[in-house]
Amino acid sequence: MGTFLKNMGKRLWHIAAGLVLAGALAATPAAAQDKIKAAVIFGVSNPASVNGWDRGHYQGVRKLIDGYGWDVTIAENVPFPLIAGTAENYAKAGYQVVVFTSSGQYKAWDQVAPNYPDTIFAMLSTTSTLPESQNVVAYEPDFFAYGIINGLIAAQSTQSNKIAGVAGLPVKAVEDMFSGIIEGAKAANPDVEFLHAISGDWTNIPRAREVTALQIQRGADVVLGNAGVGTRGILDASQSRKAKFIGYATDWAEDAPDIVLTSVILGIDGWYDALAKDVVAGKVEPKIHTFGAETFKVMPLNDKLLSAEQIAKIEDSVRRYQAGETTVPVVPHKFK
Amino acid sequence: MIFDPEFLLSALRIATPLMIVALGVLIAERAGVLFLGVEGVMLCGALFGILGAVYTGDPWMGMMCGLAAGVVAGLVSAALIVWIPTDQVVMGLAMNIAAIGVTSFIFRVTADDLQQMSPTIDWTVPAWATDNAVATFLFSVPPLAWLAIILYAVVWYVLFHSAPGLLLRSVGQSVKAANSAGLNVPWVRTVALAIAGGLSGLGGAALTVGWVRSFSDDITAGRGFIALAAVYFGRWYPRWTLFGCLLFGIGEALALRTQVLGGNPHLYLMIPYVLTVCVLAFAESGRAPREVGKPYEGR
Repeated sequence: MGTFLKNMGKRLWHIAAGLVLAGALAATPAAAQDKIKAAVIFGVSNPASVNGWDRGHYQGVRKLIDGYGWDVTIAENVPFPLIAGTAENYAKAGYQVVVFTSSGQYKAWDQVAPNYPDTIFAMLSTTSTLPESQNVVAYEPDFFAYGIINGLIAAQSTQSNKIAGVAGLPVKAVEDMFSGIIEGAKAANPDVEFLHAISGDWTNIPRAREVTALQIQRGADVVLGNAGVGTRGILDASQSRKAKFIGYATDWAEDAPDIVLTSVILGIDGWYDALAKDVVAGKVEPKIHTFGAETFKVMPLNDKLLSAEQIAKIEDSVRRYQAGETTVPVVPHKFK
Repeated sequence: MIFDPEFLLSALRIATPLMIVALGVLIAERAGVLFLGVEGVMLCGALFGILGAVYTGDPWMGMMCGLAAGVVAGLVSAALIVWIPTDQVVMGLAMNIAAIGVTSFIFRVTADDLQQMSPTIDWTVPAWATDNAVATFLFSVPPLAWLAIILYAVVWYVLFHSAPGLLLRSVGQSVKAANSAGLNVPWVRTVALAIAGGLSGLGGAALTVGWVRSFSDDITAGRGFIALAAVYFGRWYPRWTLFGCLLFGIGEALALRTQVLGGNPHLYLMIPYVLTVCVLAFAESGRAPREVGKPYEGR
C-alpha cells in the first residue's frame, strides 16, 4: 500500500510538471497576444467548398487572417440549437469578436450577447433588429437592391419571358431578394413572369435540382438560385437543360462556364473589412450597417450566351440603377 | 403540369439510387445480415463515384469507382460483423458515422477538383424516336433506371430460381440447417456483403454521378435508410421492394411539383413521408429472414 501511494505521488508530480511545461510552451508570445481573437460560426461544413453565401463568408474570414492578422477560429456545421452554446464558449474563452453568418442565428445572438459585454457579437447577415446590448453590430446587404440587379439582368437575357428563382427556405433574405427580382425584371421588361420554388432546406442538392427542372419545364430559361449547398443542384438542372444561370453571392463562372451568364457578387468580404476596421478603431456600436446596390459587383457577362448589344444594354441598366439614375419601387412580395 | 411524362421521369430519377441500394440491402438481409451500415456505404460510393468521374472524365468509370468503393466497404463490414463477429446494430451505426467523417475529410482534400460539375452520362433521345411519344419517353428514362430494373430481374431470378440463391436464402433462414448441410456460412455472408456493398456503392454513385453531378457532405441524407425501409416494406421480395422505392420516388416528385399550386411548400414536402407511413401502416407485415441481426458464432 505504501509503495503504491509513493508511486502514485510520484506520478502526480510528473503530471503536474508536465502540465506546467506544456503551459509554458503554449504560452502566447507577446506579439501573438496582440492579435485579435475572433470566432466565426457556420451552419454548413466546409464553407470554402460551398459556392455562394458561405464561400463569400470564408473569403471574408481569409481577409481577417491575411489582411488584418487576426487569429480566427471557424466553427462549422453547427446546428441551430447549438449556436448559442458555441458562441458562449468562445466568449468564455476570451475571444474578442464572435461572428454569426446567418440570420437564422439571430436567436443565439440575442440570447448570448448581453451576457458577455467584453466580447463583440457581430451579425453578418440580414437583420432588421439588434439585441438589447452595447456589444452588438450588424453588417447586412440590401437584398432587395441585390434582387433588382439580378432581375434587370435576367429580364434582359430571357427569350421565353420567364425567369425562375429557387431558394432553400423562404427566409426574409430570400423574400427580399425575390421581391427585388420581380420589381427589377418588371422595370426592364414588363412582360417577364417570375416563377419561384422552395427546395425545403439549404443542403439537399437532389431536391433543389428537381424543383429547378420543373421551373425550366414551365418555360423558364434564366435561373437564379439561393439554396446554400443545394445551389449545386440548381446549377446542374440548368446545365442539363441548357438554361442560363446567374451566380449568387460569389463568382460561379468556373463551375459551369457554358451556362453561367454572370454572377452578382455580394461582396461579403467587404463586410468583414468594415467589421475589422471598426473593431481596430474601437468604433463598434449597436448599429445595422447596410451595404446597398453600389457595393454589389456584376461579373463580366458571358458573350457566348448574349449578343454584344444585349450585354451593353444590361450593363447600362445596371450602371444606371447603381448610380441612382433609375429608381425601382420597393414592393415586398410574399412567397409562403 | 403536375402529372405528365416529366413527372414520371422525375420520380424515376429520385427512385433510381434507392432501387439500387435497396437491392443491396435485400441481398444482405436474405443472407441473414442486418445491413444497417448501408447509409455509410452509399455515402462512400457517392464520393468515390464522383471522384472517379471527375478524375477520369468518364461517368461510367465513376460508377465503377463507386461500385468498387462499395465492395471494399462491404468487405470491411463483413470482416467486422461476420468474421469477428461484432454486434450488427452497433457496427452498422459505427459504419455510418465513420463514413460521414471519412468522406467529409476526403471531400475537403479534393474540394478544389470537385468545383466543376462532373461529366454527364451521354444519353439522348435518337432522332427517329422524337416523333413517337412512347419512344421519346422510354429513351428519356435515365440509363441507370434501366440498369436498376434489369438488376431487379437478375436478382429475383438468382434468389428464387437458382442454386446459389437457395444457398444464400438458407443461410438467412437457419444457420444451423445451413451448417448441417455443409455450407460455409461466413463465406456466403462475406460474398453477400461484398455484393450488397457493391450495389450500395453503385446506388451512391447513381445519386452523385448519374443524377446531381456533384457531392456535398452527407449528400445521401438518409436515402440509405429509406432503401432499408423499402426492403422491409417489400417484405424482402424484389418486386415489392422495387415498388416501395418507386412509391417514395413518386411521393417526392409529387411533393416538389405540387408547389406550383401555391400555398406553403412545407406542407407538400411532407407528402413522401406521410405516404410512406400510410403505406407501411396498411401494408401486411412480412416475416424477415430468421437469422437477420443475429451474430454467427458457429466457427
